[in-house]
Amino acid sequence: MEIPDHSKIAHYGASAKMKHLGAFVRLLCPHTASWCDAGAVRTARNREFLRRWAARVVPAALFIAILAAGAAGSEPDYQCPIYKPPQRLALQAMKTREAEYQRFAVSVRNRPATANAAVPASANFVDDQIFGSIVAAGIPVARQTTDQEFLRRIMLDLTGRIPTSAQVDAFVADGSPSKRNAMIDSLLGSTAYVDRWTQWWGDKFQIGSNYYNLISITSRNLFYFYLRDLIERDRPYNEFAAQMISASGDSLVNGPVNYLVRADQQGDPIQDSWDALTNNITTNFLGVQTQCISCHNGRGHLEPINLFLVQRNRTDFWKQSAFVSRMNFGQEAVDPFGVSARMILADGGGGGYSTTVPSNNPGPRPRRVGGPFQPVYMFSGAAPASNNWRTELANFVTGDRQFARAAVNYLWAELFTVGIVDPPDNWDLARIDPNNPPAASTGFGLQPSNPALLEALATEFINSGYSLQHMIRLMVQSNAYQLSSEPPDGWQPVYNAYYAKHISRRMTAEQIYDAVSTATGTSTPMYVEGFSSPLMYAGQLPDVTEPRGDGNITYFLSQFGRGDWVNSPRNSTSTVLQVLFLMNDNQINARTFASRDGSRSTRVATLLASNLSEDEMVRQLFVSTLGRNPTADETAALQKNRSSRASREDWLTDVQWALLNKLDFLFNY
Amino acid sequence: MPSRPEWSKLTRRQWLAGASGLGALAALQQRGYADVSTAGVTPHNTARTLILVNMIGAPSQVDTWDPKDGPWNPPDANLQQGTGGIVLSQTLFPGLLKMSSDLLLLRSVQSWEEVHQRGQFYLQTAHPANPAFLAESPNMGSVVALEKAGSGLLPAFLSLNGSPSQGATFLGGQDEPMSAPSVAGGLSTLQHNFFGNAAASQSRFEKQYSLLMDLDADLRGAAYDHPMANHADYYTSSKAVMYQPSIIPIFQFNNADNLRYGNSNFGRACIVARNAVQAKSGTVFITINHGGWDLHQNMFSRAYPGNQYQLCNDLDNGVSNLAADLKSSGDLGQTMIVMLGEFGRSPGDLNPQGGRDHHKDAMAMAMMGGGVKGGRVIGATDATGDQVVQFGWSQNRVIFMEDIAATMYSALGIDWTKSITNTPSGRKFEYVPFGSMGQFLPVDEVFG
Repeated sequence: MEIPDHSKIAHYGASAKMKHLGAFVRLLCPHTASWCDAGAVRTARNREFLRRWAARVVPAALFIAILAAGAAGSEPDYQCPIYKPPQRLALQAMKTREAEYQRFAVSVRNRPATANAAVPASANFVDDQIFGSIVAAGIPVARQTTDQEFLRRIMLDLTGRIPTSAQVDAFVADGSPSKRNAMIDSLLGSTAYVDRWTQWWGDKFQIGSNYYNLISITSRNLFYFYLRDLIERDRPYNEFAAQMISASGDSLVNGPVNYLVRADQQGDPIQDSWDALTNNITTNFLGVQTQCISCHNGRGHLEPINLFLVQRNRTDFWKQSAFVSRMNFGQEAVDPFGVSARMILADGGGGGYSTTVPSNNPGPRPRRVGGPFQPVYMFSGAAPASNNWRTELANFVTGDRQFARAAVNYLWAELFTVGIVDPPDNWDLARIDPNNPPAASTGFGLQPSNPALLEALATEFINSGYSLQHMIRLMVQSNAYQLSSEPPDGWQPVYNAYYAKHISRRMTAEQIYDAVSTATGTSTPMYVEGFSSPLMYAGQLPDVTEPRGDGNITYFLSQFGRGDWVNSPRNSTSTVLQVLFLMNDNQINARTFASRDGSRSTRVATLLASNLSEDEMVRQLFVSTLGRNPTADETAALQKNRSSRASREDWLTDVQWALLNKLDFLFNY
Repeated sequence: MPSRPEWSKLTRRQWLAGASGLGALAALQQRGYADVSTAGVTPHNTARTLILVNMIGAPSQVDTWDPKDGPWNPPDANLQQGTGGIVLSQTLFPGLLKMSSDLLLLRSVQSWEEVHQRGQFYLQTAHPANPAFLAESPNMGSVVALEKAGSGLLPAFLSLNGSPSQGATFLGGQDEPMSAPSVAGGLSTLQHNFFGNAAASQSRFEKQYSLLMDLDADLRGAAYDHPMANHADYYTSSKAVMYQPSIIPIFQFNNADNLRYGNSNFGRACIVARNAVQAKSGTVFITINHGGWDLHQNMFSRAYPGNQYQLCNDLDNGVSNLAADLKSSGDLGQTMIVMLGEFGRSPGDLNPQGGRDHHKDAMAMAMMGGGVKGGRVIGATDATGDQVVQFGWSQNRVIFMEDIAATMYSALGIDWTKSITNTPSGRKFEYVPFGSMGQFLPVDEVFG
């Protein structure tokens, strides 16, 4: 039979024949238009389309062949014979970008080292790698941070909070040459460190009480305190990963069970929950998103996306998912209204990953065929040695070197703004070995910007007994971390890959809220169900629904892109409304006045009541808000603006307002 | 593609934008979206503004736009003939029945989804809710903003009575919906009302702003990284909308209007929408959210809070007044109003709880203005509202969300076959899935 090629299809345009052909394409290849369209492949409706189409257009032979292929349980190859996915343009764009990078890499390699590449001394192997590559490339390097810059950055990164003016002044006055490391150690031992990094890991796992009716406030709190305890005691990361992967029992009793509950696709066939969990595990713990191949093979689809996945197909995914295929979710209503859920997670004695789904509820993915599949670890080909499949999976994952690589890269991306592999949840495992780089024909180069550093970090992490704190300390002690964000002369954005200057980023919603409170001295208690005492920082909140009793704070946090952990990811993009909010909302302005509603004072009020000179009052405002003294230019600007205010109160209010709106207040730089 | 204000600034900051191969970050920074493919079509271009009334929770087709003479109707349904083939309940939709010569009903619509969240995703983006693509499936309003921004001081995409669940995603901050509250006092952050009377307050704000500009001058001129430069740019555009006699009143209204529009959150949002359309200040796509339609029980119990009577009357009051006001100001002809939810509800008799459950095979929607030829009905369902029996348009099949999206884009003069190919992931984003293949098309029959 004649199969039309894509160019011909284009000419068919809107003919009736095209409609049905399109539907058929949609069934076979969920990728046709949007590349992956699983949601569109609601099998029931497509079967109906297919039936009509088959009856009218397709020679029976092809139709029967397709059905026979499915019935025989052979792996359906979603490389559609009719329609090639519109990947050419995307591939072209990717190649162009990659080529630009390669050209740049060659040009810097051939460039003689310049005087600009004078780098600081090495504090540890991070510096050896980073400064080594900067010198080799001969690119300019930023100056070191001032003490004030360092203190603000290290506090934001380790504790999520800006320093108080007293902390800044004490740190600057400290003459000890080892004061930076001493500060790092003191912060790593603080409760604020536990607050910040529990929230950070919580953001990765997204165990929020708004996950439909499956995760209650009780479950959310259990998980939060479970995680918090691990961070506080710096328990080995491989240990808690294994606990979460292999947890079982009652979600209202055993915290880590809720990691698994978060994958439950209520109302869809159980396979979809297994598949979602498999993708969560590979993404969270290996940095590899595998959901693409849960619907279709890699080949013919992912060439411009991920070379490792190109070599994998759906059966590989199903075998990976088979590790969790004995897992069942039992839901028991807790109260008479069924409002909060008790999820009982147990492993049954099933025979593997079955591809049979209820005919009246096939779920969003294209039809699965063959099986049942037995577990095979996709990243090594290993099969479990025992019947306890989820424990075996936990061992495979945590024993995988990629587990260590992904973890250190997640940490690196948080501390250095851009991952060595970036985005850090988008690894292509076929592009990480410098001794075996991808073929030129793929259009790709190596994925890590510094493969040697990455491997050294992974080895260090393993040798440290998977200590997160050890790795964080190592990274922030490096002089590379302590470079300024200010671009040196001759800076080009591509130099970001060399970390030759620090990369600034807007603070998170919680950080901005807390910074405003800390700077102005106006912290407000937040009440969270299940917490014994009120929280004073947004950085302590256990999920993105809190503090649910305080509309002002939740509004503030949503303005700055906190996200909801279900539909909207966290987003640090600036918007007009954010700037309007900061300039004009009562929540900000009230904190700049000398008097409020009486219930709480402000920084301005405290300073006005003091015996300090006006210059010192203004300096204190700078230090408590920006963590530094005014620069010479700023002092000149202050003098220029002072005369137009009659009262000192007006002046301090205006200075406080301007500082809260300043760029360097809103950014972690 | 239209040239974006941001893009010209990028050129000025070439040192920041640069040419980069470093993946998503760089791709996001370069908001050029130069890689656009299109099949080349001629949009209808009949509307300057589009108002999408999102009936969240999925309204019942047979109790809204597709009523039947069935035993399930409450005794006081009072079905009345309007213009053309339009029949509506006089009890539920008195206002729209009066305007039926402007009203177009589509009764051959079908949803792909039967779950609220996924259905809402489809409604807002015209794309299926694939977990892998959530971050690259922007709201249609954001796509419209990408295409049409810059004709006034306000952001092109306005969301009223709540924020949409899906925003601009990879398109970025400038195309995010401005989710403005609809309260009598207006948008409080458009002015600075902390220092005595308005004039004194504004003059104090100007002083504060000058101080900020002076203090930030060095950093603004040499921002450390692109996001910082980006944020710096928003000070100018934010200040531009402040104290603007043309902008501030858009978000304000008097109590007479408030009462006339139904004294409800939805009604107040309709007033702000009217004001935004009439002000012609840059707003092109307005979403007005109207929740509560997921009535599985007690639909017609007047004692049940949020029953069908209340919902329909609230909608009717808001939209009929909105349309009437736009008509008298001469704006309705260029303003398309679209009312729909994410899917239909189970047809025929009510369920044992006196409500209706989810149903995707048939749903109905309503349109007015902006080139819509009113006083007509497109398509028909069977006697219970279960299945579509008459398509009523040239494609001779049911109307899908993709077709509705193509219709809306077309009305706004946007080529619905376009795709953005240089997304952060490198995967193609089609304005309308399969649009360039011609599989989904504007419903031309909508237009006069």
